Amino acid sequence: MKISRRHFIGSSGSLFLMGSPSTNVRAQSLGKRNLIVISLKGGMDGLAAVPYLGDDSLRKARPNIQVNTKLKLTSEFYLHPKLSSIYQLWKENKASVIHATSIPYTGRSHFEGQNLMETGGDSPFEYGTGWLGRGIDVAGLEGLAISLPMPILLRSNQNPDNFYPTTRPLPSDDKLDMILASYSDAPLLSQTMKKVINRPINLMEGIVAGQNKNKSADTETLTHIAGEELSRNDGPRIAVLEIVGFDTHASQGGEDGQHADKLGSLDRVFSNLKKGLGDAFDNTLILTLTEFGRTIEQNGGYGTEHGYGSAIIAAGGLLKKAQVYTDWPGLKKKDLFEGRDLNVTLDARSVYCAAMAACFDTDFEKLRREAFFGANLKDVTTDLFNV
Amino acid sequence: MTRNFFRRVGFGLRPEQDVPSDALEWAKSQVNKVPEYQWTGHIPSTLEGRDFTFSYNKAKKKARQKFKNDPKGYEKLFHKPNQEKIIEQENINLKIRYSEALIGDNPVYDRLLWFWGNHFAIIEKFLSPELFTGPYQREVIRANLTGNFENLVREVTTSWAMLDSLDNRTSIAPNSAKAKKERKKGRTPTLNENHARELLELHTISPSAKFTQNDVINTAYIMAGWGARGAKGSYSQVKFSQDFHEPGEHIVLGKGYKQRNTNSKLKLFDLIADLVRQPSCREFISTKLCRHFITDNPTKEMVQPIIKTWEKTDGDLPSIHKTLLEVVYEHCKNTSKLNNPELWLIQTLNLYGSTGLEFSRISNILEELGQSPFRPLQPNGWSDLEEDWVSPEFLIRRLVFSRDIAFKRGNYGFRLNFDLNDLISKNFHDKDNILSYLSSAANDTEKLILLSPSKWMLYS
Repeated sequence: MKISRRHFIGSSGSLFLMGSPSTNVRAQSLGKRNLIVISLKGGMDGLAAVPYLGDDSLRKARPNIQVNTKLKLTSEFYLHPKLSSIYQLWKENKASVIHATSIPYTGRSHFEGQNLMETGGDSPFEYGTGWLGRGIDVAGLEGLAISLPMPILLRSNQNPDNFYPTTRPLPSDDKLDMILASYSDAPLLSQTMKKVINRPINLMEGIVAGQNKNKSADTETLTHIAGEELSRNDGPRIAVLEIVGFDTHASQGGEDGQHADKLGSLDRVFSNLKKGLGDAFDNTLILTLTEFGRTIEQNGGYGTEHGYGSAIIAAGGLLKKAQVYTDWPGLKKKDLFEGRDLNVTLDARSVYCAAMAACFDTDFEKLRREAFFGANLKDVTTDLFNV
Repeated sequence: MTRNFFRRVGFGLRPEQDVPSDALEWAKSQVNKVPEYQWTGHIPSTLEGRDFTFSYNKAKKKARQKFKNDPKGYEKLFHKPNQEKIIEQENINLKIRYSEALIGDNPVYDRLLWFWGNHFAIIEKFLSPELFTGPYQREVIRANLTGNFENLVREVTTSWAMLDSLDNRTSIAPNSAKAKKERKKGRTPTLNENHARELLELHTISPSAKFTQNDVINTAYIMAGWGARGAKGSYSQVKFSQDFHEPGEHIVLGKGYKQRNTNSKLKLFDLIADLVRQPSCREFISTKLCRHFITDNPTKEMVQPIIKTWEKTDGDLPSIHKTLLEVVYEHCKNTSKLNNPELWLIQTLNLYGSTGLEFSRISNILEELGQSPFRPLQPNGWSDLEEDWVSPEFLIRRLVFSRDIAFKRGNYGFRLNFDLNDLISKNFHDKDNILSYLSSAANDTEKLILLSPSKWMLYS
């Protein structure tokens, strides 16, 4: 748990928007497609969010933190009861789950895992840029990130413009010009100051208006801003949201409890985004991202430990259909990774690479090479998304 | 002499301060002993933080039970009042940090403390920014900057905050007694490599030493056992537990480390003794000092004297710091260094004569500026590079706060009752350019709006 002003008030969330306007003519001709990534920090328990009840392995491993749910996806997979809005989307063919997936990281350390889920590399702290930032570069999109500071996920070789709501006013225009003049022999500063001065006023007003409704940057406000901004034709087309606190080593709970609370936040984020996006939801893809899953077995504190395989929850009109996409490895002891974790049968980066291919109308192969350093990824674009 | 020096190694000279006759002596005289605190209020300790966390977690369990069916009641009657209390602790720790900087007489010591606190960064984790990072920086770093580097690394590596931050407390070596027990219970014990890797990579020898994954694992074996454990019904404290330790000899950088007497606790100290004497260690840290205090791209000429002193004095920190100050003094005029958001804020307020103590929620201001010092997201701490701090958003933040500081002086702890021209001539070497820049301002408030975000204040 992190306690800062925004978490104190809203319990979760920070928002980063990016990618506007497009200089990629092909992507433009398709109409605006949005990609939203929700980082679930702390290790989201894929087996709590989307339990496999095809046999009794999970019930046996987790006698005290069972999830009792009636939200049935398939004959084997269910959805956590707190994910009821996502279930509603599933019924409308606008949500799906990719299961038994993860970034290829088995070290079980949060900060290494979080670094890798953002950089998309194989070795922690090796790269200073993120797969989404590099993908934006490859697609020829121009970036404006609404963030402070820029998350690694969105960093790229270009130095994108960034903005984040503040309620405090800037000095007057004539003073800004004078301050700019003081930067005459400081090129980086003067270049940056020019960007500030020439910032499109509508964006600033839009954001500040959204902010003023509620002075705190809580999840509701942020998702509202994200949805509204992305729904505009000339607005940003990429958003990154963060929800922290999935690291439930103790009192994780089943249908209630700490992990359930976090899944509840996630569900509200999905439903708020859908509301904010309006019709644009049909041209949007929302995906979750986490550093690792959690152990299949409960621990002594009725929590779970850091694990490996987890699930990606996806929503939006750009999904091919409602499905649990998985080559299910099984939950018997022999099926588990190191005898304790859900195994991984699909590199999660394949899904993210395919999502960018679908949303940015850019070649999967090109993104694989340039955004993911040529990693061995499977092209799942047509399996998962409408292209 | 260049007057930027007072801002380069300190926080600048306050309105009532005279210009020291010998700037270099002024700076060097501050690094010999641990200064007395200016802060007269209570100074929170690590143990108090541990004690608080322990009772808080117990109370939380109870409250969760009590408000099982009443999440709003839990929020209102338990969560919110406790969060208020906890956030207040971060602000107290920040106020202590800034009162030392703003009203203390040893700004150079404080700047070194800020540097080393960031070098041995504690990442943002459960309650660490509020309860633990402040006490850690005071008890472990501030108290040990007058000894040698080896001692500092030992203290840091075995501190509660670092063992918690990098998870060594949860590390169980595969052939330890504890691991055998765990496996009997059907659990898989895990060795944690985080702390071991960072001890090598970030704290001492750096990747330039070309250590291997085996060196990391063997370091983790040597470290396993160093953790925090408590008796039942009490909070945990730093302790070495032989049960968690990997028996036998482990080779790091080609040298074997084995048990010297009845327990294996000292293996780690033997390893540290060798790490801090590696050439890559003094090179890495001497360069980092220059990067922090002189320029993003230090030259050999700057780094070499520091390495030499390091070698000659076997890592005596006051000697190293004095050589550093000499090098900074020499290169101050022909270099410039961007002030990160925190340094910029405190330096600005210091120049305007603020005592800083009027802030109620300074943590919010720092968060808005984009640098909460106790909340680095990665174990490598805050960047020393200009490119990481200059973006439109970071600039907007400084602009809006420049305006805010000029208009709401009372909130920022100062009044405009000083001679601005005098202040500028005391702290900047290009006084005439600044005065001509400010000449179009209609009044002193406007002058502050222009001065605070000007390149002269953004850089030192």
